[in-house]
Amino acid sequence: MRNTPYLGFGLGLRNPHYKDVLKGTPKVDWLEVISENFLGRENLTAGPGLDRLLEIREKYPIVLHGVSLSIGSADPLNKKYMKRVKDLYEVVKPVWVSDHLCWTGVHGLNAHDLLPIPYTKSAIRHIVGRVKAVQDFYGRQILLENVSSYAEFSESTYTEWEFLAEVADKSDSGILLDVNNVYVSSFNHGFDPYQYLKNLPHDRIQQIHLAGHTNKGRYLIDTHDHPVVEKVWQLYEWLLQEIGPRNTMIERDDHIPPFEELVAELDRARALVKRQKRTA
Amino acid sequence: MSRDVLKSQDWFLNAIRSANVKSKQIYAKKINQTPTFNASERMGIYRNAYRIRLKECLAEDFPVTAKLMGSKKFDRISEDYIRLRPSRYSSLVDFGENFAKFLRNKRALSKIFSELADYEWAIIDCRFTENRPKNLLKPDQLAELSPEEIMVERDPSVFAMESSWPLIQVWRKKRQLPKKKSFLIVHRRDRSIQFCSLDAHAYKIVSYLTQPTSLIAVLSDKTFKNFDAKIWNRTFKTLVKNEIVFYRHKNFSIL
Repeated sequence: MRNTPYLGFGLGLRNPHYKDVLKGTPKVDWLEVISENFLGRENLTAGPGLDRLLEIREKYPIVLHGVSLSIGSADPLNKKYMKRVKDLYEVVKPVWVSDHLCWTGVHGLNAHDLLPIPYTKSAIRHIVGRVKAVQDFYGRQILLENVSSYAEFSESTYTEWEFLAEVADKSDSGILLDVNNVYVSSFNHGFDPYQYLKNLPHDRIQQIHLAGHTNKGRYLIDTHDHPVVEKVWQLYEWLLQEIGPRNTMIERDDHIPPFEELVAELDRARALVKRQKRTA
Repeated sequence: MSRDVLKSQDWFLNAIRSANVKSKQIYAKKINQTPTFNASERMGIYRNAYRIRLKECLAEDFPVTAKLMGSKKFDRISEDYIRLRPSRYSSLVDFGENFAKFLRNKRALSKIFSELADYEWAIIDCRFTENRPKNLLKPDQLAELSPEEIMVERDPSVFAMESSWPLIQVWRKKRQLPKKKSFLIVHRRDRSIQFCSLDAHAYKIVSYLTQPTSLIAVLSDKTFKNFDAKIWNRTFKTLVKNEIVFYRHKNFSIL
């Protein structure tokens, strides 16, 4: 069930912060990077970034997070892509690996977006088989992240949390729970985010993402360009009380602030876990 | 493969790729909606994100082409490219691969844009090329080998391209990089006027030789004190070969 070690509090490492990490020893326990940023170009090499990542790995545990597996797609699995990712795993030796419970394209076309899946029985059957095949190929368990969404298929017969739980249980994969995504989707679709969190298989949650979003009034957009909002912190705190500490990370992809600012935001998560331990 | 999943995804992808927005009723049949957030708006978020993401990717990969073309025109051409050459790559980093070719095929468009796009793509490609192999022959080892045993290779990072335009100058100017001094000469070979650029060393020699000077005077002049023998030989050889500089015996008059 839970195959990943507990490392504590990490950050999503993005380009502007490489120098901070290479030069200093900022107070983070681990770092997550996007796998695709180190795959390089098709038929070319991984590029200069990989050398820097390997240097950073000497100082911090690295976790690889993919965005292109397209596990929910009706297309056959992209073996060429998977081979490149597997080769990257062998070089980087990440502590754990993850991707998203979504699809990015079909008929060989790629929308380069994390698109929503119809939550149906046939989709579960389809995805479970693919997750098992991916895990067999990589020779390790993968974590699947819930994506934020703006559209839900009317043909869906499961709630998102039921769907995620069943895919994880049946394929024996882990869950990377993005609490901000739960909040964004709950706002956009009108469900109770606490019900979502309550009904997941808690022992499968191995990593947590925290991030910010943009409030458009009638809906929320998952932009990862703001600090974590208060309501997401409340959900996280509630979740900690229910399931105990999990590897937790702050993600920021746009309007990236100075590294110390993100470390300070991460300290809030640390403080919540400390407080919870004291009261336990 | 699940037929239901394929059908839903086929519909969804067509809806976000299509240039025409479908009627609200069509979206509402497939997508759940709430009183404050209808299905058409929900799909609109994905439709916009699809275009914006791909357009931003092209603008990032071809910043100078975009600047030279103007944002409106570049935006329109990017739309065409996204529609006619949708991404089949697993990563966005490859999406611009055919953009220069796409521009080349647009007959009404000046060739400078496709050549500039080729140049910008080469800059991206260059980052991902193999490193120079190890165990290369050193010059002193060459003499010990026969020509059959020696391989001559181009460095893997070299991208050679022909252009009728001053691409490097345009690129530097538009990127607002600090201007790099360039050295140019104009000369005549037979009846043909020649233009060429020189490196700093060659330019120093050419500008020094405003009048015939004995070789010993040139070699001992302090102007060239930083020239090592290698630079000196290589530069002089090139200047002579290109008929920019020549040797003559001091006892022969030029006339």
